[in-house]
Amino acid sequence: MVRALVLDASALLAFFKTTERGHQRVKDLIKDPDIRKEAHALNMMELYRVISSRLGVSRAEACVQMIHSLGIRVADDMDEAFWKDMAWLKVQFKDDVSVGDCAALALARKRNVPLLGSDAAAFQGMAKANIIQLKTFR
Amino acid sequence: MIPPFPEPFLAYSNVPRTGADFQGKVRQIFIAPATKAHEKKLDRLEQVEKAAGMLDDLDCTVDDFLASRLESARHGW
Repeated sequence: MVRALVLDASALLAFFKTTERGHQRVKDLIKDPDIRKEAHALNMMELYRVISSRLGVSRAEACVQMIHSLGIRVADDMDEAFWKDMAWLKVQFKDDVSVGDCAALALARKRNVPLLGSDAAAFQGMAKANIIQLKTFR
Repeated sequence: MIPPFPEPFLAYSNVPRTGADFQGKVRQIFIAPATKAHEKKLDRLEQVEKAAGMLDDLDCTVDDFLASRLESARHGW
């Protein structure tokens, strides 16, 4: 039974769009009050950028407010051990992971909880190699 | 109906005096918090439903998002 999750930006996007594959799975996990949920500030930045560039700042703000009110904590971890772990992940997986991916991955590793992410091949490979615990939403 | 407690005992306690008082106390201590928690849960579920379609008009899918991330990764970001 999962007690805590780190949500990647892709999972948050899938939650806000009912038309996305995996939407229901993310929604069910967000609904569950017994699961502690977190998203890294860098992933929030990614989401905010996508929304504000296409729908405007006020829509992006509304989504951020909603994320707060749903009890999803925004983690601002960026201590030395954290950014070094991000760098290690980037070195290991080079072109397969972005800095945003690394923030989500490093947070899940630091908390020792599963990352709720997409079915991206890089994530699946890391899960197989026990580098992360992965829970895919699609 | 719960009979009232004897007066001497009540003089030094805050035990409810009548059945109605007792029911009031039960409501205050047990039922009200449970109702409040239940209402909070319902509010949350309502909020999740409301949030779920907030970006249905966004012309960027999860696949688009992942593709743009991959593009950034290939440029060192």
